Amino acid sequence: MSFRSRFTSTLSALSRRQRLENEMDAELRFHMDAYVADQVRMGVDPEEANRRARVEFGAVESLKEECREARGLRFFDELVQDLRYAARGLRKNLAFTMIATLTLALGVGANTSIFSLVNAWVLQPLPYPDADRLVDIHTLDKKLGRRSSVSAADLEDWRAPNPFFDGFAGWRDSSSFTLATATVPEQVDGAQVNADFFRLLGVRPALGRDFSAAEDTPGAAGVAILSDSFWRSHFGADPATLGRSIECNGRPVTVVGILPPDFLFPLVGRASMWMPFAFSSAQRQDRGNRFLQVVARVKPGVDVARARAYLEASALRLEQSYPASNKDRGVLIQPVRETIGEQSQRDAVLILFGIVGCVLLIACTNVANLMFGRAAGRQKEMAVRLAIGAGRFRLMRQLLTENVVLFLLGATFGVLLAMWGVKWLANSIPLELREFLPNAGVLKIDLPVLLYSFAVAALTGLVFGFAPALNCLRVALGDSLKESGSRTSTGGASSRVKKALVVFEISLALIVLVASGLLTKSMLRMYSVDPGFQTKGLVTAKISLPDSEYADKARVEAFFANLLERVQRLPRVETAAASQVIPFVNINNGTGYFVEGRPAPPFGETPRAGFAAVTPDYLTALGLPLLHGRFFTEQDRADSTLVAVINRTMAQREWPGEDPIGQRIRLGRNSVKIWTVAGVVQDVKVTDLKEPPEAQLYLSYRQFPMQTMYLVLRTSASVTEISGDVRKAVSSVDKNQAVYDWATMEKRIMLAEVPDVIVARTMSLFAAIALILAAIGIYGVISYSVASRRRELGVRMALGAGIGDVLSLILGQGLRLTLLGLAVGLAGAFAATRVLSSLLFQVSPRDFVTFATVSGLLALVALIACYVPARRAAGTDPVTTLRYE
Amino acid sequence: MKKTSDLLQGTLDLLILKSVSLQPMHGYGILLRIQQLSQDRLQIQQGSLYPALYRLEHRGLIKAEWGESENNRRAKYYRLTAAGRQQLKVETQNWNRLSAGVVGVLDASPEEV
Repeated sequence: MSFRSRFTSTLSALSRRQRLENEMDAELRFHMDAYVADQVRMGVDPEEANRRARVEFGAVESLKEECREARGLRFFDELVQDLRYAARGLRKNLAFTMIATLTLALGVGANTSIFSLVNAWVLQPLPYPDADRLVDIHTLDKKLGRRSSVSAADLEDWRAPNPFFDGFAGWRDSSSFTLATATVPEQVDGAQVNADFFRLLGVRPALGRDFSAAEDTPGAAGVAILSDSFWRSHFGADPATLGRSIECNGRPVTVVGILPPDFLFPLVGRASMWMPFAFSSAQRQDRGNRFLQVVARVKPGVDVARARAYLEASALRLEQSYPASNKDRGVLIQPVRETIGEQSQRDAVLILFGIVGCVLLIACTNVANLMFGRAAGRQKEMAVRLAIGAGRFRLMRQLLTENVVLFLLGATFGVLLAMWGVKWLANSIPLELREFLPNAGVLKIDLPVLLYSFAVAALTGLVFGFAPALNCLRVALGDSLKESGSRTSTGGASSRVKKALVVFEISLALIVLVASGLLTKSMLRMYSVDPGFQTKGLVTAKISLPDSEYADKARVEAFFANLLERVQRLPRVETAAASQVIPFVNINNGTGYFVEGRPAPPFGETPRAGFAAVTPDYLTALGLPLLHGRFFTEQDRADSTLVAVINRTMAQREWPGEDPIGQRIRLGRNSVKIWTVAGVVQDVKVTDLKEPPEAQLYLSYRQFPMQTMYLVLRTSASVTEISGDVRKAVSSVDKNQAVYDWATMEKRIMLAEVPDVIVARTMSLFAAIALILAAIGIYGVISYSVASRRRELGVRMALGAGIGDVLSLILGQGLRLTLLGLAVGLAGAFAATRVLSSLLFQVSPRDFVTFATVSGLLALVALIACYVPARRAAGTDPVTTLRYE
Repeated sequence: MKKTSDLLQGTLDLLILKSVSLQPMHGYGILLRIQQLSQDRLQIQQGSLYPALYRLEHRGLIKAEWGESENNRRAKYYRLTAAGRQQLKVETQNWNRLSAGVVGVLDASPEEV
């Protein structure tokens, strides 16, 4: 009747199996006794009555079996039987079981590892309430198609009441604070946010309170919310931290809240202190000053597309009203989830997931082939079982159960392997990047991942176990019993399936190899790019002078001049320099410039260049080649001629075939300052080795003092060896300032390129697994074929075929399969590699050399795998072979 | 004498449902009741109705409880559930329709054709 009643009935029967059996016994005994008693009452002899009862009842056991079946128990009984049988079979054939398990463990292990990535970074929802309503907003430079930050004025306009957004919260790009402590001042990662930032995310401090609306207005008292880990490391998790005043950037700040331990916002990354900040009136006015990152929450039920349309309409209005700052500026709005996906290389993760799927299929194919081989030895057993009355369906189920058990066994070892794999993956992500990943880059094998692994194993077990099981049964149904021995020549159909499987796996292996080859080549290309300067032996660190004490630009200039003089004198420091922007650290948006003597370009078409204030020794420290003219000297002061140095790309763009030296430029449309080009230097990669060369403009730090500068030291010392001395030098200039963000240039390059490296390296590992599995696969098939053709080969040799003939016969067979696999694989790879385009640098997704090399490699490995059994076949004595038959 | 195996399975189920609908009873009781009500025209093999009982219980049409038998022994008593009552009604109608149909066919005389 109702499904539920049946289900609960079966379930209760299963869970209280013993009780069911007892009750059944009791019930039947009662019936028998009652029957006998009635018979006796009717005058039958008790002896005779008992006999009658037994006759009448017939086979009690089969009766009970029927009752059990009525309860839906038979299926489970048989399952237990099948499982037992499977375990026995697998134990008996240990070599087969071990090879198959190992193969599957590799496939499932690799799969599980990557799925844990997919699960953590792609599938898991973001840890904020209604996270799908959170969007990330940027300004879009429609000319360059590039995104940039948002200006405070634009943000204020969007905030006007509207039916699409619940609210907007801005934060400042990469902030950090100087915290006064008992000993040396410490630089702390932090973020400056609008007061409603946490409310917008739907996050509440675990202790204390959130910022109040008034706290991001100018002149409000300083308050801070701390991260849980910072509270623990710096305040010993003392609840009395709340209400305490700390000195931050030279002013007192009261701690008002502590965030929950698991709070993380990957768009901000690592932040120990959160402080509200007010827009200055200048910031509110200047739409060109784009310094904000913005997150917003759309109203419930509002489509992102409609919210986007609203902001785009608003951007168009701003373009018309404020062409000077907003011409060609649109908005880019996308779910926060998308941005985090980009940050966590979601595309690469999904591609890896696809590739690892291929590896699993290769492993499964190998195991299916092994099963075919094994089935050949069991046809007789099956035939006997059929002959004595086992149902075909029943046998089929049993064979499938056995295969699924094998796959689950493989999955178990695979998960163990994945535990290691996941650790390897997680460890290959540098600490510095983890905070920008969902869940701080933590990977673990949790319940969903486990479920996935075992579901995949069970499913592949059914699919790949089906054909071998069917084959086993079909052959058994045929004439197995009639055959004298097991050495029949290859059973046609099963041999065809086996060959098809090998072709399939070679083609998959080729796809994996091509993908890996392309990515590796791309990585090598990337690393062979000349960054434009000497990357080795450079130590860098950051200094940010606070507004409170360094509003006077002369003081900034004096600070750095003073500091560098001291650092230059330190032992082992070859050259000490400073620059506002250094390669491989995220950069400012550059500046627009206007060439003197040319008509000013219309709004929105102003040429732009990256831009950095540097000290004169920057050229030497970086090892940057000077192409023309001169670099800065200490004599380029605020009161001398303003000079600029440009890079080659800018020189070629603005003055092709002309001498740029002596040309004059302005950095603002109406700026009165005119800068004279004094020199041209080589291009330098600024963010990433993969970027195309861009125009770059350098100014002297004395003529354009900046509060935030990076120290660039050419030294033979390591960061730990030099940082203490540099700290001392800094505090001897100003004891309140901190030096932080220490890293060698090589480390910074590594951090910028590491995602590509991880992807390429992981892919290579998979390619190696795929290659090995494919080799094992073709070896297995050729060995089997040789074994089953022994008599034929013996006859051939007896009739005069030489060793060479046999070798070429067997190798030819292997080669045919390999070539067919390669052809299919090449077609597949040709169609599929386009998805790699976004990951490739200077390599076409259809790179001929890679395709050719990889095919050659695979063919070679396959031939070697075939040669071993071929050699064995050729080496056997025909007489022995024939006699053996 | 008919053997139970010749009785259609559905028919046995119907007979059990009907017997149990009169009052809760144990398996042996059901068997005796069917024999008694059919005036011994229907003979059921001892024990053979248990698979049917388990099946009906599995389908939720009857429910079993342990109780005391007339001679003070523990026995399993079956009673009809609401679903069983409904099923009995439907099955009875079906049976009546079927038997009327069969009787109609068997009573036919050459003149009627």
